[in-house]
Formats: sequence, structure tokens, C-alpha cells
Amino acid sequence: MESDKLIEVKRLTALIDDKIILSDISFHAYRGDITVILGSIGSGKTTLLKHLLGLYPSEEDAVSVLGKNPSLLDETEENQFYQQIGVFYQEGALLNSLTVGENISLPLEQNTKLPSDLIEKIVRLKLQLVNLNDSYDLYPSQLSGGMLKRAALARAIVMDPPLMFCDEPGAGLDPVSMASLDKLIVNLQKLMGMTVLMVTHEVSSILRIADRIVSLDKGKKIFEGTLTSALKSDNPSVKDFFTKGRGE
Amino acid sequence: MPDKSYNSRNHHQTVIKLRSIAVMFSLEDNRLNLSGELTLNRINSLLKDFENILQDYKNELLVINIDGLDNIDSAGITAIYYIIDKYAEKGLSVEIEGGSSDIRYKLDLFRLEEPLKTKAQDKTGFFEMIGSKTDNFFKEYFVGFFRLAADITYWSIADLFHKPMQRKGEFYNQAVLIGVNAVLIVGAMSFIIGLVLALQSAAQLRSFGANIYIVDLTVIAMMSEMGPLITAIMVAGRSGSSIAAEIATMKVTSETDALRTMGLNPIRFVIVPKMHGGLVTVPFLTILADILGIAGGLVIATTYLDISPIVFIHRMQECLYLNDIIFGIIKSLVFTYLIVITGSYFGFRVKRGAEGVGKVTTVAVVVAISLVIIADSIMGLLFY
Repeated sequence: MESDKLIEVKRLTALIDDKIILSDISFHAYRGDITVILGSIGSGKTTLLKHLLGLYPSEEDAVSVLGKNPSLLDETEENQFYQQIGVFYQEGALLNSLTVGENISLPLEQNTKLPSDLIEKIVRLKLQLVNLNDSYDLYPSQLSGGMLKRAALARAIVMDPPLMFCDEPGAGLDPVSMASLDKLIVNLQKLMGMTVLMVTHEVSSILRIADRIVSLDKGKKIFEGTLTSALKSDNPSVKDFFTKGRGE
Repeated sequence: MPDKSYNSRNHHQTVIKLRSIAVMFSLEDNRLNLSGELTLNRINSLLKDFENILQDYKNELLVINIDGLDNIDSAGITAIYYIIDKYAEKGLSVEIEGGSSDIRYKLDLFRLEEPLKTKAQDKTGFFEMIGSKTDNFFKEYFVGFFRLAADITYWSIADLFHKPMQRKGEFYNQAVLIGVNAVLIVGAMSFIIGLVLALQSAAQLRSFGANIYIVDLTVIAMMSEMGPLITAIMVAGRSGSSIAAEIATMKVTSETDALRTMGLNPIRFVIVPKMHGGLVTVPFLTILADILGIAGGLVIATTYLDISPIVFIHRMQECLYLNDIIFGIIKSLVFTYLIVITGSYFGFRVKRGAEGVGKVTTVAVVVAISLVIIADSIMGLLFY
């Protein structure tokens, strides 16, 4: 159903310094699904994500996220749009000068008029959901890699967004921490009824959480479909990605 | 030295044997046998020996047999492919034969892929190149700088009239960081410069019997020129660099993207508090620099030129005009504006990690100080 398509990309081509990074990309992400954009390093995943977030400009019909092209919004519309999405950055991207609690409360403080004690309760709840109960007053520099990722996840979901973007969430984590983070994302997605679009090249993560796959190779889409169909795909690059990624 | 025995007249019976450090060659008819080890530190001698061997080679085909190779690394394989390509250009066809399965596997693995053929670019003429570079410079630096300046100016004014998008207490933090924390260094430098300025002039003035004019010289120089300039240079060094480094670091760690995707404008959240903090505190720093610079002059006037402090102050009241004080403050506001915008602009221009942060920080300070001096000259022409 059209209304179930939260993200629609149509014939998106992106250039950086006259070099083609994405070429004629089209795909959909459906409500309630975890859609994974996969591809090896340099395949254009992060550039695609930045277009979806409106951080890079795109033509009007090329990108639609929650029915809007985020790069063409005015100040007010942009503000409303960003309140409906959460973004989980690869490096966490927490502000180092603020505590974890202050970082997570930022979107609530700036975008709502809630009393500060209620904001604190919401933030503490989100920290509890990601198993970081005692980290409210810690600074990002005092957290381990895994804790930092979970704090970033808590910030991404603090506004209860219907749509969350994750950029390489497992990068830099050991397999156990990665598995536990994946489990956490799946649980939160079910618990909060979110749609998730994740960019990753970690095959183990993809196998654990993906509903749908969009595969990129050298800036081109080479596959779109369910995880099951991706695993059965005859496309040599997709096949190679899964077999070599699993160490076969 | 390679051991070479070569008879070019009789190819059918030709046997060349070259012994490098560890790789050995023997050429029989059109077959070159390689044996031993071919690794990075042996490539140079391999290439030289190869040239020697093939100097008088007349066949169109050369087969390199690698059955005798015990070991080869990626550099050795690259060297073999290099030789093949090099002699192919001269019309000699080179083939590889034999080799253990391990070495054949390595030969496949370490084969350099053909670079993607890109459309040859039209050759750019000299004037066209100058035009294109000027156009790029204009678009990248001028337009970018003025756009950011316009954005920062707009939000710095707009946020005075509605709820600012910043953390509580951020304005005070920035006022302390930019202004209060610079008091000691700005004060000390101004005092020393006032002292040196008066000291250098004292001897000249005494020789003309114009001792009292040390007051005019020190007061006017400090109030209208040196005070605002010293303060601006110190602030550019301390705060301009810190603004550029902070924004650049936030950019490379995706913090500015994170702010945007949380619905927070990085200009309003990060830069506007710095602009407000600087514009409020730097004029006070400038007044402090003026006072301490004049105090430096007073010390010299009293000790070298026997002018009592009361006479100094009395003369100061006569030569100091309100306009000098106001112009000094206007200058300090303009300088602060330029420093914050330059720091922010270069912070946002960062590319490539930690190295990029260092580069933009340095450039930001250099450009900020240059702009301050240029602005000072322009304002000097306008005001006086």
C-alpha cells in the first residue's frame, strides 16, 4: 500500500566533487519494517542516508521521507520533520561538553515545553530502556564504546519517533556487544512500533534484524527485497556479500 | 655482480645465467626460467638483469617459467606484471608458465585491476584555468563566507527577540570563556605594550624637550589603535582558534549533523551564544587593555621623564576625547564579529579528520588576524 511507504526514493543520483556516488537509485521502505541498506565500504550507503536525512540536497521527487523531501523544507517544516525522526549515528555523535542526560534531553528541551522534571523522567526511562540506568550524570568520555552506542540510541528514540535511521550501529563493537545492540534495536522497534532504516555492512547484524534489504554496489542498487529472497539471490555481488560475510 | 655468459650469435644454444642475491635467471631459447625467491628487496636487481638479458633478444615471444620460484611476494608479482606490460609496449609478447599452485594463486590475487577509463578531460588553457580558479575561489570563499555571515547575523539579532535555541546558561559560559578568562593575558600584554611604546618614544621626546607629549602619544595610541587591536589579536588567538576547532571537531564527529536531525540549528545552538558572549565582553576587555596600556605609559613617564602621575592624568583629560573611546569600542565590536564569523566559517569547512581540524584552526587564526588588521585600516581611514 502506498500509505505504508514511509520512505520512497526515485531515481536518485548524487555527485560529490563531480564524482558519481549514487546512480539512479530507487527503493521503498515500509511502515513497521526494519529495512537495511547494505553494501561494502564506498558503495554509497552513507551518502544515501544523508540524502534521506536532508543533509544533502536532492531533487523534489527523488526523495520522500514521511511524505516530504527533507532537503526542501523551510525552517518550521524542517523542525517538525526532525521531531518525527530519530538518528543513531555511527560514532554516537553525543556532544562531549554535555552529560549523557543533558545530551538526551536536548531534543525535548528545545522542541517541547515540558517541565524540566518531566523531561528528566522521560530521559531516565529511555536510559533504562537501553540499560544505562546509572549513566545520566556521566560525560560521553566516561562511557565505553558499547555504552556510548546505547546512549546514542536513547537519544535517537527520546522523542518517540515513528521512524529511526541507524548509521552503522555495530561499527567498532565486539560481536557480543553488537549482538546485544541489535537485540535492543529490534526490541525497541517492536515496543515503540517504529520503522527502522539501517545502513550497515555487518552481515551478522543484517541476518539478526533485517526484514527487507536494499543492496548497493559502487553507487548502484543491485537488489531490493526481503531478507529471505536476498539470501536466495542469484546476483553474484549479493551472494558474495552474504557468503564471504559469514566467513564461508 | 651477475655472472653473465652470453653468446648473441647463436640463440638456439643461448644460455644466460644471472645470479642476483636470491633470484636466478636462465634464458633458453624463448624461455626465461626464474628460480629462488622474488621479494620486494630483490626487484631492483631483477629489473636490471632483465634489461641486460633482453638487450639483444630478437624473438617476438618470451615465456617466463616460474617453476623454480620458491617464494614470491606481492611486490614481486607486481614487478612481473610490470615487466610484461613494459615489454608488451615494445611489441614483445610475454607469457608466464608453470609455478606451484600457491604461487599461481598469489599471481591471481595480487593482479592490479585496470584503472577505470575516464573520459579524457579537455585540456584547459592558461586563461581559462585562471578564470575557473577565480570563479571557484569566489564561489567557495566569498559567497560561502557572506552566506554564513548573513545567517549568523540574522540569528544573532533574531534570538534577542524570541526564545533562543541554546542551552541554559550558555551565554554566560561563552562570556566567561571569551572575555573573563582572557582578562589576565590581555591585561598583561597591554601593560607591556603601553610600557614599551612609551619607552621607545621617551628618548626622542626628551631630546626635543617635549616630555609632556608622552601622555598624548600613549593615550591616543592606546585608546584608538593599540587597545582594540591587541585585544582583538589576543581574542583571535584564544577564542577564534577555539571556535574553529570546536565546530570542526563537531563536524567531523557528526555532532553538527546530529544537532540538525534533532531539529536544532547548529548556528543558533553553537555560534550565536559565542557571538553574544564575545560582543558583550570584548568591549570591556578593550577598555581594560586601554587602561592598562596607559598605565604602562604612566610608569615610563614617571620614571624616565619625571612627569608626576597627577600631571599625567591632567594632561590625559585634555588630550582624550569621547570619540576616541567610542571609536575604540566600535572597533572592538567589529573585530569580535569578524573573529567569530571567521572561526565558524573555517570550522564548517573542515575536511578529513584530526588533520583537517588542525589545518582549519591555523587558517582561521591567520585569516581572523588579517581581517582584523584590514578592518582596522579601513576604520582608521573612515574615522580620522
